[in-house]
Amino acid sequence: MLAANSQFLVLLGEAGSRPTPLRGEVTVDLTRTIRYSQHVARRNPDLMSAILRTKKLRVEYVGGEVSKTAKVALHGLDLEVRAGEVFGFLGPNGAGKTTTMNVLLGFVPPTSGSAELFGIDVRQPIARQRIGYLPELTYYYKFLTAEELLRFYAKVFGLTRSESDQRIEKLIGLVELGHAAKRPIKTYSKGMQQRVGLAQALINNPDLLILDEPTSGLDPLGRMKVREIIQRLKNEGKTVFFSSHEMGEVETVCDRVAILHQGELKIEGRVSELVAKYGVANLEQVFLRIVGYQPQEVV
Amino acid sequence: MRVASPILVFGLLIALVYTLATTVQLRAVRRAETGPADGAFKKLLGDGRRLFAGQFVEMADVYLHSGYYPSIFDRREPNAPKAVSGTTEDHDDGEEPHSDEYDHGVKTENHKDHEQDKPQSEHEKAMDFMGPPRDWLEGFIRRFRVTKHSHLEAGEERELLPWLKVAIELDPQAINTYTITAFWLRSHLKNEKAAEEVLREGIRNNPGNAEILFELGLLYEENYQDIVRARNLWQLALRRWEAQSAETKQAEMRLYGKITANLARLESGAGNWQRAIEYFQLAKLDSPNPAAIQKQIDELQVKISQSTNSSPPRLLRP
Amino acid sequence: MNTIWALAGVVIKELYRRKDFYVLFFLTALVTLAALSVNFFNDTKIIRYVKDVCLLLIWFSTLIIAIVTAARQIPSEKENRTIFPLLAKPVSRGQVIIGKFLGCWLACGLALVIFYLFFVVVTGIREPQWHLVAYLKSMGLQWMMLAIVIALTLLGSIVFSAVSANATICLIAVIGILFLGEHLNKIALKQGEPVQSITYAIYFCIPHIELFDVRNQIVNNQPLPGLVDCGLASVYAAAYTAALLYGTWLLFRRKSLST
Repeated sequence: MLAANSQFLVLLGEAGSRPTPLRGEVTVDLTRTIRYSQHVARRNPDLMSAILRTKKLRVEYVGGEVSKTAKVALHGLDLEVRAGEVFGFLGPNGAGKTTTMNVLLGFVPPTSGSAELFGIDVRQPIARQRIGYLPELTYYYKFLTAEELLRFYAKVFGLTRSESDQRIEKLIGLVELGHAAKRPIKTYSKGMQQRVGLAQALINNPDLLILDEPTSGLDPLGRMKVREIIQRLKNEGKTVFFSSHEMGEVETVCDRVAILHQGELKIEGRVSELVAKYGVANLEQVFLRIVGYQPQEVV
Repeated sequence: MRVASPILVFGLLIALVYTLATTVQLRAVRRAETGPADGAFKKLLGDGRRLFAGQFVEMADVYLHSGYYPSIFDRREPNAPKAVSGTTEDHDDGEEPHSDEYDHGVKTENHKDHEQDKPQSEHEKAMDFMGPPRDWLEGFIRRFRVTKHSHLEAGEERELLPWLKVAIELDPQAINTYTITAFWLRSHLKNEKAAEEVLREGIRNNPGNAEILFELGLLYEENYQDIVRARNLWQLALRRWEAQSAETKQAEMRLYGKITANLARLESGAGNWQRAIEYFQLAKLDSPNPAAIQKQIDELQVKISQSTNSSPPRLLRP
Repeated sequence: MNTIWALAGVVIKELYRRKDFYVLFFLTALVTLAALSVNFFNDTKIIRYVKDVCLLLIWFSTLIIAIVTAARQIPSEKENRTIFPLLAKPVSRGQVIIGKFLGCWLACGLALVIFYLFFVVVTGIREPQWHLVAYLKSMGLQWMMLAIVIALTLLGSIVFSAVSANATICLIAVIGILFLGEHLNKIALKQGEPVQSITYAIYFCIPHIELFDVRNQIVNNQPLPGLVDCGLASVYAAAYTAALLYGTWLLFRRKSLST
């Protein structure tokens, strides 16, 4: 059963590839995690096709010293992302997209409800073993070179020296930073820093990529390259979960999208189905309809 | 563009250097004429430097005790004399204290024979500050502290000098620092020349100071065996002391006693007994042990009467 | 453990790529050599004051390095947003705390080795013999003391939002303990109740980092505590460090971090 279920292979490493080395507490957690996942699989086989899952996820932020009123960022979000799909997570500013990502990445604890990655509660560090994360604002240790940074993250994932050498060489080539790999990151341009960010997100050959506005601040050429990378990852069978404001991009690359508004999931489904359902020309129109935008007449 | 000739450039540089040299020289001469320049400490710290001077003398005292020293929380008497001054009867560690073999000029007989019987000195009492530990934590902390009372010896007293020197720089008007430094230089480190330089610096900064003159006299008597200069210096010291205000004199009666007692001892050694008696009479005025001084006077009077009876009067020896 | 060592390595790289250490080392070297060059009565054997000055500067410098380095670890990660890509990896917050601590401690240890090497060379110019065992003990004890200081500063970095506030408060606390720590019981005994009990409680609760200060013995060539006592002191330091790091972890694990 363990071998038959591909989700466990995702955790342990793809079939035929060398599993991610396990160390110390990671080993202990994995044993418990496998037993827990086996238990979940026996009881709910359908649920295990979802790589990313939130159930009635609620997040409240308590106000400051002056006002103690709580601000609800997410109202019971139910979301599923399946293996191998490219999932677009949309919404206006303040909709709760970043909060959802923060919960999934373990930065913010949920007030109630649950969030799981590969069937493991996001509060456990092991849940992030097979994910890669590219934040919107890419800031890395400025005193390190790109190579040192990637080596650092490779060590965190437990890659051996030879594995990390191979991965780093491949990634540096992929993001076209060969000429600057040995320079400190503080000397990089914004575009170069973004590419370093992409490289570090891919260092562990993740099965799930979480990208927060990956094309933000990039020129058209940069955006095109990011789209190509996403497409390539999809072809390799990876799952991509990303938030964006660029509707054109989302329409191009995503299999499914979800639109969030004021902390609630308004709609979810395939792009073509949503466009047909609302009888509009494109996804942007769907988005505007969902968020209740009323175009003003220009006098 | 024409390049300047190297010879012309060289000539211009020489002229510039010559001009600078003459200008700076004039300024240096002018500054020398206005008196001694203020030291770096005086410029940096102003009058606040005097506060630090006392701390540096204390540092020297800490060094003298090889690190075994009470903190401000341990000290019983805040104004207790420091061992580094070496001027009191506080020492009982076998080394001969500065001039205390002669208590106010009176040589105490069998000084060393009484060492075993001597009760704990003031210094020993002051340095017995530790006592039993108040709790287990203090007991453990003490294992990381110096707990044995000892003094520097065998030339290691040199380690006091930097702190004493800095103390002098910080407070040139602190007389005690000059006398302490001179004492350690001449008596333990056998560096009489340096001791004399320190004392003369003290006199330059404190013209006519009786205590420094007295110390200089001790240097000449004990180290150079120059009785004449010692006598001159002590007599000068006595005159300077007498020229002070009544208030200052009252505060420095101990110094007066030391000057007169040492003059008496010197004259006694030179055979000028009458003069010695006169000085002993003066010393007796403030002595804590007048009976001993009176005994000395009586002995001298016996000597005078014996010499008067047996031989004709002779001229006083210089 | 790989993660912890990786984090520690980043901290060490940061220390030797910043200017702080070099500036402090240069200052120490400059002042020590200036002190050594001063002529006191033409006596070339005087050395204790040089040792005193040098050791004081070493203590001051390593304390500054420890506090400043530790104070900015977590806040600068948050401010520079480098904490997000870090925690997005399979790294627990406890590992971050331990990694940062280990990095700061090892970096301070390296700095100590370099400072003490300089100290040995300088004192060797005038002293006929090197008290290497004593110097090693002193360095080891100081290193253990720095573990407590670093752990305390890391705790402060979670409590106080501003790096400068944390660094200042920790520096004042450390200096206060160094000067007053071992005397608090004497002060307590002179007070009435309830001040006496409170002072005594503080006396037993604070980490007695002044315990590790054996400069007096080094300067005055006095015997240092034995290996057993040094071992006990190290255990004492380890216990306090562990307690402080545990407290840091308890506070940090509940903190929300928003991108």
